[in-house]
Amino acid sequence: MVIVESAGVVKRFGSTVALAGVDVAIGEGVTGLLGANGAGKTTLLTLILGLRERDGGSLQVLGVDPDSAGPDVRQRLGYSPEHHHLPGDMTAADLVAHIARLHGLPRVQATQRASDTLWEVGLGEERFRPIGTMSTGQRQRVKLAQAVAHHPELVILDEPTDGLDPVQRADMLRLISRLAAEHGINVLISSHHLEEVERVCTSVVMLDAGRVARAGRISDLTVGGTGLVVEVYERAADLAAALEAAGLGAHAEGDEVVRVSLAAARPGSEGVGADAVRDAVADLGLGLRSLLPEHVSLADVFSGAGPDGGAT
Amino acid sequence: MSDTGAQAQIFEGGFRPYTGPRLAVRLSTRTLYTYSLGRLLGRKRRFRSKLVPIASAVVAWVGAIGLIFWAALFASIVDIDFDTVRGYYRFAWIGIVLLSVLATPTLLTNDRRSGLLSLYLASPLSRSRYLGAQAMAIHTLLIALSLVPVLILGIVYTALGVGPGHAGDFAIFVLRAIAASISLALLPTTLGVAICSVARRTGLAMVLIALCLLVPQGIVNLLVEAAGAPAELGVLDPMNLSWSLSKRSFALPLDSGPGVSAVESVATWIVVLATLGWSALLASFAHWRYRRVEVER
Repeated sequence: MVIVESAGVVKRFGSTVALAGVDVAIGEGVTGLLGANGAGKTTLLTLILGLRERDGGSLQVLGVDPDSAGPDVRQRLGYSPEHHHLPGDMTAADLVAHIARLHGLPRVQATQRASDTLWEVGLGEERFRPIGTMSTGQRQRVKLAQAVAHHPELVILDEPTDGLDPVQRADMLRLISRLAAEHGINVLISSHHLEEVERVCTSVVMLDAGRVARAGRISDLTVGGTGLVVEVYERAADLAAALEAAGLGAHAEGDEVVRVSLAAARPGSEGVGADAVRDAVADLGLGLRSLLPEHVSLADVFSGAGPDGGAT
Repeated sequence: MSDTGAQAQIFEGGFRPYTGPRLAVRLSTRTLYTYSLGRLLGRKRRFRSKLVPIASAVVAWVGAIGLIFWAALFASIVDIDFDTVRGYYRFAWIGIVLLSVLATPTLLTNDRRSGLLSLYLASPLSRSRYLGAQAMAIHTLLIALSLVPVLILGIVYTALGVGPGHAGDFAIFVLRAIAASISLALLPTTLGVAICSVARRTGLAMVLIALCLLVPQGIVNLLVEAAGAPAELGVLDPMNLSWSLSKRSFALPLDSGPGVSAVESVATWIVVLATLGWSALLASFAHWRYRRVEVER
């Protein structure tokens, strides 16, 4: 099921084009929205939330146009902003219940769900504490709780790990994964932290200068397909030379790793690859530790070094 | 197995999918209205947040309590005039000014500074519904400040035999009192909301509201009395405009002579139009400003 679908979405602020024809289809699960500052992430989020009207193109969120039915769309969404400002004199339970009520839950259910959600995010014991006395990590959890207490179909999290230490980050990411896996809530995360997005998301949308630079399942985007990584116990240089002689592009990294480029294979040497590596290792009498397809990190994909080299 | 055991069920607790009822989107406005009313009264907040509504109520109602005691003790030996009930709005005005100046910015500018506004606008509330709910909450409280003591006074005076003689007359008195309270609270509400749509700082908003409510009186009187400007200039004085309209709601005699507010000599239709016009202008300005407010990330 497609959660967010856009075609040629354009948004201008005066003479500045914030979104220059965004075509994207965000499906179920956890999706990361990546992009440098000014790439158009925030603008796209505000359009999804129906807080601004687009200048062109079409946008459907949960099957509804947020321009014409903003309140109805937002009733089915949850939103956790990037900033940590929350009313300091309110208790976490009051804030979460209040936001749940605004999303249409009756009073009793909102109060009960606020309590359950705060337990879920690990603030059960702290739920009656004023938010002003809470740490940044606790506030992030309160923001997450208010975004999901009404059980939205899609929750938008803007920099959900901002200001957290490594342990808290890991906890928050586990929490987000659990929301999607166990409770069926679709998540859209806007983040600068590529490694976190790679860890928690199943799909990703990369924006660059108001356009979608790359989009798809992370597993598809990060499979290199252009090479192999060979780990041996010694004499990596000898192995690289043997592979070069066999018509493959290869270079040694230290004494134990050889990177083999299948794209650089000479004409007539197609079909070699893993078999050629196996044979060369055997001929040289080396101990093979591992032979894996080259993995491209999300950072490589983001910087255009991944497969298709930053094609739009 | 016993019957009790056969009927036993296990209720699973904790976070789980919500399958219960969801109220209509439009009810989110009511939810915010009720919540804001509670916030203005300091509900579920520290004691110092309750001081402003308490002080405003004391200021607005203390005169009424005094009048009730006066009437109860001396009704038999002095003339008790029912017009004192209808003219009570001057007392109530002090409480209205106090609450407008101190409470309106606390509600509106704090929403922006505390990040609540971004959560509100990401909920089913639209900007117009948000502003409408907040303005209604402020207006309701300001109306209550003047209406409650006037109604209590009306009931007590009527019980003492100096009020309306018939139920019909009393009903008319109640309707006029409601109209007077609504008109008295209209300008302070819209002025406060308009100023808070511009000023981000609570303190600045408080000062601006106080200045806009209190300063025009002196300027307008000076222009009309000393410089001979037309009395219609009185419609620029929100305080006397509101007073005069509340007085006219009861068809009370208007004041005249030196030192009296210029608006007292202005025709009623002009006073009504000016009040509605100012309110519409200020509300439109606030609406326009809030349409441009950025949602904080």
